Amino acid sequence: MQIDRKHKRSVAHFILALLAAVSLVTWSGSARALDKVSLQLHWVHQAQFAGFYMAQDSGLYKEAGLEVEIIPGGPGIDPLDNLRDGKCDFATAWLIGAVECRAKGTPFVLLAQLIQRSAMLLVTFEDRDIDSIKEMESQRVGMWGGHFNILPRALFKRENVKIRRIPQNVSMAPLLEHAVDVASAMYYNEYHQLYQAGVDYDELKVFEFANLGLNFPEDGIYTMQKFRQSKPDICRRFVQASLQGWRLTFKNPKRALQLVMQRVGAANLASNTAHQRWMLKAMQELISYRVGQQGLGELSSVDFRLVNKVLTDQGLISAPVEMDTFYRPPGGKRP
Amino acid sequence: MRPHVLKLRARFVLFVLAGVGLVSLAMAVVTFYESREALVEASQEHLYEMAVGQAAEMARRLVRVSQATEDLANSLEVLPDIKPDKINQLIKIYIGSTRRIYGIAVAYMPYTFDPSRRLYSPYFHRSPQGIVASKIDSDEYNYPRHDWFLLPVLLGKSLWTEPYFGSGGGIIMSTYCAPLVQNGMLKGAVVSDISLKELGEDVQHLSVGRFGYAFLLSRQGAFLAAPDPKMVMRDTIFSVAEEMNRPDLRSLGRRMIRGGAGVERIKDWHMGEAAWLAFAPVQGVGWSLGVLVPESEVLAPAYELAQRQGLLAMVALLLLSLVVWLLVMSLTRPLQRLAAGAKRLASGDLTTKVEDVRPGDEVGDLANSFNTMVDDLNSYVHELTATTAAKERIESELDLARQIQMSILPSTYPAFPEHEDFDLFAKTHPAREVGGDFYDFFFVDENRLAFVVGDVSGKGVPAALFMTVSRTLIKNAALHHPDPVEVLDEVNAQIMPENEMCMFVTVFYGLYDLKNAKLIYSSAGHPAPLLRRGDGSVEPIPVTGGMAVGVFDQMGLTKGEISLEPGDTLLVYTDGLDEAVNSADEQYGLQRIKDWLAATELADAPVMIDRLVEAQKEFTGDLEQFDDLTLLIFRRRN
Repeated sequence: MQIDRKHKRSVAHFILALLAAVSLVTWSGSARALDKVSLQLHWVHQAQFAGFYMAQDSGLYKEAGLEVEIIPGGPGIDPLDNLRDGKCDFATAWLIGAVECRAKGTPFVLLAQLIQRSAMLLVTFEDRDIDSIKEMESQRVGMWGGHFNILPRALFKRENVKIRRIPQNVSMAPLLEHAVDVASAMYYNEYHQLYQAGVDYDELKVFEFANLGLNFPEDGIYTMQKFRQSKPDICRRFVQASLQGWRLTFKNPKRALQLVMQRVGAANLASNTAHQRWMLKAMQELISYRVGQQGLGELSSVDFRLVNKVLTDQGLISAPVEMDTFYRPPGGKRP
Repeated sequence: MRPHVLKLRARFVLFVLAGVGLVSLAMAVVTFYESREALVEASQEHLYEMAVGQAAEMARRLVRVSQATEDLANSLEVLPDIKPDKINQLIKIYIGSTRRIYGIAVAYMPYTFDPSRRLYSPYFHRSPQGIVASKIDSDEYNYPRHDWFLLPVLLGKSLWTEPYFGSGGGIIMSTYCAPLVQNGMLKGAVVSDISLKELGEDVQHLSVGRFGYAFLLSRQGAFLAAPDPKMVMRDTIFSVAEEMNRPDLRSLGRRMIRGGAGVERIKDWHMGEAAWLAFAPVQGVGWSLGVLVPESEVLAPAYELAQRQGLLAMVALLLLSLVVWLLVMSLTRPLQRLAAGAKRLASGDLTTKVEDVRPGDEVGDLANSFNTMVDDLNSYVHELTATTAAKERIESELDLARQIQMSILPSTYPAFPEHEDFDLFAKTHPAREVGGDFYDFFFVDENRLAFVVGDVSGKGVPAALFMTVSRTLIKNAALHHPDPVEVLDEVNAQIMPENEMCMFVTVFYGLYDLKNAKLIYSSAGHPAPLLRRGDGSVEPIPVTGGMAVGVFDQMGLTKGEISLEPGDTLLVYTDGLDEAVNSADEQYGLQRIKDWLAATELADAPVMIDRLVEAQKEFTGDLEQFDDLTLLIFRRRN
């Protein structure tokens, strides 16, 4: 009995020691390779950023030798400001905002263009009888702050329509309470929030910027020019792992939705699974629009010219931004 | 016929139980469905009233909050130049005086309270440390963008917000927001938060049966209170409908947020079973209260009733079966006694009586009849025993008579051992115990041998008696008269006067002279004997005339005479031989006798007689002997 037990114990000790040795080797190996970087999102946790969650939780960043901190955004948080101020290494932002800042001197560079098609809408109730942009004349229109209102402003200027601009926040309550006549909405978010507030789609009238000659690409991954130059390898690894994260997301949307809901739940956000599922589906359409899964992250020069033109026309920038200096995908452009 | 599997008792009980059981079952089913319908109707009404009542109660509670907020707004309206610490004091008083208010903010439009300051909004809320201040007028929070400020300011009217996470108060809340007007100018909003956790607890405390629950929807269908607290703020009834793919839930939600009221049967999204949902608007707020009770709970009384009825029916059936059992026992016990009695009777016990069967009913009658039958049987058996004894006595007497009759006929062989020049034997087979046939042979003197064969008319005892008389008379007469005709005449003369019974007897009387081997004979109505000569020819000896003895005074007999050569064989017989019939009703007949006699091998007389009887039996087969049969064989030896 006594001998037997001793024998067993010594075997167990040996196995434990072996495991410890193996884990020590692997840990020290990976620890040496991990570069710490941070990513600032331009909105609260939601399916809009599912690819980044997937890259993190599936170990893609780790495989790329990165330890990525994902910082959620929200109202009052400008990711480009944070990037400029060195509060993060990477940030997601809309193309239009980044181009404007670049034109004004902040050296942001675009590493990957994710959303290829404008998902922004103007929404009104069908029974308001607003059938065109022209008919929004002197109506109360809810508009977001920051770079998010450049597009509607450009539209109303182009159409020569004077509206009553009402600041709009995260909530669609102003439209639902008829505090505004028209509201800004993202196809993947607010538009579906209205549906989840009991409004049927056919009760809404929708104006898509993409169909109004203002198809501005939206979400992209940015960093500072200096960072891009000094750490091209980290940029390459981060972008490739992130894009791979998106591909994995489209391949396994169920898992991606779980990862999204984990973060939504932890952040105490007013959202639900059905909504995030809708958003995730929309994101796949928007991100793989035109470029397909292989071309993920490319910036169309046509779209870029349009953004430059609108910003110049608006008087928001004095001279167009050069695409070659602005769009710096790591690992080079595809032929 | 196929036998019954079950005994009478079990069959009775089974049939009665099955019948009564089926009826009770049918009644239970009908009752169940009727009570179910009634219950559903009643509970619908009850549920609806509960929803309306609770919605009214909810409205009353919320009114206290909204009223306090409006009061504060009104107070501030008349105090346009109020100092910040006074505002703070007022806020704290209002929070303290209204239990359900979690926090109050007075938010001014940008640059309105203090032209040098963009944002100004004091905010106090409850906390474990008492009523504390929380900063919400930072640029970061930027309250003018939030619904609770934007909506009352934009709309110029008061309202309740959708549920949201109030970062200032640190809880999930809904806010009553009233516009703040001073000097006729819109200056901002006075808002009061309520804790949705607290509200949820209130709603869950509404007694909605054991398994039911209540929920509260905002104007946009968001859950303000829900069975699962996680749903509050995050889910709307429409997101649930979308998640579960339930268009019915969506249309129900639309009815609810439009201020509808009613009762509907739905599939509960929370528990997943059929449920009844009543909903009513919370007046003045625009919210909707839903009260939901699982159908199983609504119908529980119906099931309970059915269960109780079932139990009662079981007990009743049990009692009934006991009663039926006893009843059938009282029926079958006498039947069993009767069966046992019959069995005993069958085994021969004539003392059998079936006792202990109460008379008066059918079974009693049966037992009575049975007992009567046994009595009758008893007396019959007694009679039969007596009769049988009498018969046995007669039979034994007849047997004795037969022995006597047989003993008076000579039966030794050889009859006359000292005479070797002839062979003689005779035998009679009566059809009954005693018969009317007879034979005899005796020497009348030294050289003359007389032999007689007679056949009395009729059979049985009378014939036997008559035969005895006839034989005696013949023997007597033979000793006195040398002539066969005379002998027979003498006998006739003696019988005739006393023959009141009109019986008669046919007789063949022969007298054989040993010296000259001549046979003289006479026949009184008897069949002619057959003679087989040495050459094998068989012929009846010539017989003429002659009536039977005992018929007329004058018989007209003649005497015959033949000489017998050595080896000649004479067969004398009675009509029992030739008139015997077989099953085809054919007589044995003279010809067959002649053929037999011609063909048979000569042997000792007894042997030949036995053979002839056997031959005749072979012909008649199993048919019973009908007439007495007597055979006599006489042969002159060499």
